[in-house]
Amino acid sequence: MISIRAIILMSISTAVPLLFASLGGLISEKSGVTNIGIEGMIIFGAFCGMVGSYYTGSAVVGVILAMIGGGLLALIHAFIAITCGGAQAVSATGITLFSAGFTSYGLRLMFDRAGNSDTVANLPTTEIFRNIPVIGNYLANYSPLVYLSFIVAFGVWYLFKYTPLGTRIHTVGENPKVAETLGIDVWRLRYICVVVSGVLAGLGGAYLSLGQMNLFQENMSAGRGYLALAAVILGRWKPGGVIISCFFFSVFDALQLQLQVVDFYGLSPTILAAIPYVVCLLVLAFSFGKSKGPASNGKPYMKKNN
Amino acid sequence: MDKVKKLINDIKTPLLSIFFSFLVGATLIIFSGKNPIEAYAALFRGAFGSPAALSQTLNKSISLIFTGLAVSIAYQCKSLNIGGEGQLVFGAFGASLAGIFIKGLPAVIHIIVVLAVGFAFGAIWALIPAILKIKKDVNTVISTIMMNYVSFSVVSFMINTFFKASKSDFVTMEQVLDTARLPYIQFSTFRINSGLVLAIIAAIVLYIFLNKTVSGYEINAVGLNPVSSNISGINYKKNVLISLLISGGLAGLAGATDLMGSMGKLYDGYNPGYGFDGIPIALLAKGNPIVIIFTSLLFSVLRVGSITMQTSVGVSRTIVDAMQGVIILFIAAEYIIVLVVEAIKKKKAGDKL
Repeated sequence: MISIRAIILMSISTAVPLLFASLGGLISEKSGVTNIGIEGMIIFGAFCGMVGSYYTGSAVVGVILAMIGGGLLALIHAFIAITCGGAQAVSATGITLFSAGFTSYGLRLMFDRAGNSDTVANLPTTEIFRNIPVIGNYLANYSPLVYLSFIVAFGVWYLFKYTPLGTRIHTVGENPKVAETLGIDVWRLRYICVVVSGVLAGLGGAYLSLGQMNLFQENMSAGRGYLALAAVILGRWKPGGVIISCFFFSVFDALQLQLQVVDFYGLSPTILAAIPYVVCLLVLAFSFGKSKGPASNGKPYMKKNN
Repeated sequence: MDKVKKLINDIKTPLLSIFFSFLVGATLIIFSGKNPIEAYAALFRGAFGSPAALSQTLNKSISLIFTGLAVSIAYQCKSLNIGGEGQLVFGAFGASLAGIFIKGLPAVIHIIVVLAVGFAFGAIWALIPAILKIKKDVNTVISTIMMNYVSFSVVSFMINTFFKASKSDFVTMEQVLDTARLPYIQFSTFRINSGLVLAIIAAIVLYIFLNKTVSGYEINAVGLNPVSSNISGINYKKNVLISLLISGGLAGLAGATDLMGSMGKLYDGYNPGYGFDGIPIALLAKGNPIVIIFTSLLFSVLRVGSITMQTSVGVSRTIVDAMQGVIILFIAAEYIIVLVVEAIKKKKAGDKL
């Protein structure tokens, strides 16, 4: 039997990596730099999280290392995209292929085998919520990273809705020339936004290896970074829309996981795993109107003195 | 003299990218406590060390030339097709169907038919990303990679449900008919698949198409400047569509030739990674189809040689995947390489003074 309740509960946890990654992607794209390398930053974050937890025995250290790892990869992307004015899609593809190869290589180096790592300390539950009456047991059954993702979601929404910083990021992404005449350091702001997107993608990865699981699996991001970017498009680059799109995809992700559990007509897991992607492509194809991003998204901005 | 200068300028970035990727690779090898020189020696021995090794390297380059051409033609229109892998798998599936079920044709005709079907299946798989790009301006990186996951699933489903060979321990389709196999050309201990000839012909045809025909010129113009080419009457949408369909078709041919040459039958779970190799291959060649023949050789050296490196020195062959990413990053960051070259020049000038 397919349990609707299980799907709903599960779609909260499948939304988490999408939320982190797509909010990161949103911040980066709002500032005018596409970050298609998010997929690579997720897998790198998942790997770094496992490494941190494995060597220190502390999952929190793992999470911090995941953020650093994702941020460092993003810094490479920022350097190529902003300082070098290089092709952003190419750089991002390089980041993703590098991370996939690097993490597979690192896994073999550490454990002398392919597939997955040893189990490590993780953060599966939030025990401080356990004592809350009635709902405490439900709340406690989710990883603290789930709540962190909700906080980040609220924060990003607030950032773009109410803060001058959000407006500045918006201006830099729409028209960097105007932004510069207003006294905004275009490069600096873009650097910050891209690195933040990497840190968030790293958190998404940490959730995969330390929140949902307690180990690292090769290619465990399985295309979530791209789903997250599709959520940015579908959400029309508005925080609220992006968050809703994430939950939309996560329901289908939860659905396919649930179908695997109940052995739906004996369909193999590989076929079921494609469901979110098919849904995503269909939605992209049939959504109304052209998806229009920030005007200067993906265009390098070269300073006058350069 | 100017021509030589231009040539040096053209190959500077690719060569330095390759150099840096080997440097990063060496660092990773040192981390694993192995000797990088020993590892690279094993790699080159594995790729060139014997006639059999050399044949294998050349044969592996067949599919890589096709995927390199596939990425290249799409990138002429500034769409990055990273879904070559899915198009390749779907092309191999189509070719397998045509190779098994179309019977009674003479070999030459059958081969042409199977290749055509492989091309068509690959092109179909690129159609949806092309439409998304034209109608909704969806970045092809996102749409093509999603089509990869769908392709693996659909083909796996088809093989498992409808086309599973009965007398086999593995989940696989039937062997394609002998009339659909690409023959090997054997001289002494060299054994080269005739697919190599097809791949080289494809590269030459594409070179002529891009450089000597009006359609090729239009595709180039759209890539260089979509806005102004539109003003001068070149249809942007049509050219993006054409370049992505040809791209998908070429990736489909990569799968078809792999099937008709070395494999013979399509296994469940087939995804050899050639589609991703096509990205650095095309970028290193800067879109020149003739140069792609040589850059794909580099990757078949890495792929074939890394097996020996793994077995004899114990360095995991996944290192090649990381190196591939590094090459792409350095090409994207052409600017750093220019800086490094200038710094070296300055230092040399300083030494002379």
